[in-house]
Amino acid sequence: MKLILVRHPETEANVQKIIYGRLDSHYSERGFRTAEQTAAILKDKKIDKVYTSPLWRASWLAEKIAEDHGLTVTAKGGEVLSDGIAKEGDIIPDVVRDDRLMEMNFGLFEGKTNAEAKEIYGDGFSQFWADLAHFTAPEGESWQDVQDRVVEFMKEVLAPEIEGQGEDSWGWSPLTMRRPGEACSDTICIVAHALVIRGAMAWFLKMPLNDSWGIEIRTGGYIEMIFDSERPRMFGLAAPTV
Amino acid sequence: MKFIFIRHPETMANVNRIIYGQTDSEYSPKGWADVPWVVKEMTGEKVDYIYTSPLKRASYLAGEVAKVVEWKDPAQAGLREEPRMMEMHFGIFEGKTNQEARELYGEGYEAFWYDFNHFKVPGGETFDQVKERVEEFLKELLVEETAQRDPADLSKPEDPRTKEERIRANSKVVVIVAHSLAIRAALSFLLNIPLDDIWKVEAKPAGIVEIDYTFNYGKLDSCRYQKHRD
Repeated sequence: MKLILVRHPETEANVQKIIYGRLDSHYSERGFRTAEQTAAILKDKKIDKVYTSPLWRASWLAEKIAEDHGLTVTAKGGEVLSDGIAKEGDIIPDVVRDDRLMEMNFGLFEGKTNAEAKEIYGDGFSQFWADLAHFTAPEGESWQDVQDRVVEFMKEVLAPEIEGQGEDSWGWSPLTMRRPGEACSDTICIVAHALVIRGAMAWFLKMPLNDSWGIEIRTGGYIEMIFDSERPRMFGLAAPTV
Repeated sequence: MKFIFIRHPETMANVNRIIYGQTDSEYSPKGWADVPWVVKEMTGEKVDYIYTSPLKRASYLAGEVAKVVEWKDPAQAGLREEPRMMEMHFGIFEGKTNQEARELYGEGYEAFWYDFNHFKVPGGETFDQVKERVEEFLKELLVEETAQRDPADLSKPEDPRTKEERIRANSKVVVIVAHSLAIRAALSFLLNIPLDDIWKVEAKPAGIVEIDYTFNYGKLDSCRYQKHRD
């Protein structure tokens, strides 16, 4: 099984350097260009299923990727799409929305710049980004909370590859893992957010959460991972240059 | 410092599933096909130094790359061989197939696969030893870079950039052409990921891995590879 983790393209909120997680934001001009480029790069790759954070900035790209790979269904009516509600009989992109992929809830900091957030919180604010893993945003989440729900989601997705095996067993021998042919050969694309993706990578690479800033996942960028009869590993990390 | 690691292309030993580290091997047809891709990716890249493992499967590709990069300082241009970036020495297993190695070693051979990190091949190295020598080499580069920094550069009040931005702008760019385990050992040091877990990051054959290492903090910037390897 392969995973392609995609970070949504640049949004207006990114440009204005606003702290936002649950708040949504549309793409900047550059973001739209990046979306086209990322979709074009991924079009060359086999993708069998698409999951997305329900936030617009992820689901718009996810729907485009699904359409590019012929992953569509006939709507029953009422399905939420990035550009409206589906009517019965519409052909819509086949994308699974999962709340666990939403970005961290920044609580009272949502929509504020760093300077404004500091005023709300006071002196302790400088610790916020430095120790994001453990700092719970007032009326929001901590990064650890995010990782917990993301890992729960990842384990479900990876279930065909790790059934009967704990995550501790990923370091072990190809002699005892599943033979090729028994493994699941699907490629799953997951469109989400920076802290969500870093949370997944920190768990996968067994890094402390706060260290995962060391993986540069740019807007519109993606990470490729493979789980098969050899040791599971990450083999691709790139972003379109716009 | 910006590191650009390049893993040598696929060799005939890979294709024939031969265990090899410090034995050399010619490129396979797929390997040859990857050379132009690497050259294209590296064309015009601004570079300070190119280091290569002295093994031919690395140094050939390094030589091709050296022809197309843009040398920041023409006086520093040229390929440098670095034995500490050679692949792990596989001792009595060098040049053997899995089956032959098992017969040679006897009981306990399976540990070579499921406990690779701690397995000591008779006459060979351990993964820890590879990391030690690679780390020693990388630290020399980093110390040299710091020594060459102009202190006046760091505190120019009229320069609107942050200190970090200034340092990154003056970062040295070092290309290192090497091997799967040597590169993994380097990534383990630069990204602070334990050797036991570094298996989870792969540099594909003829793959390019870029790391930004500033203020003792490593950032994985990209892992690229030729499309047909997907």
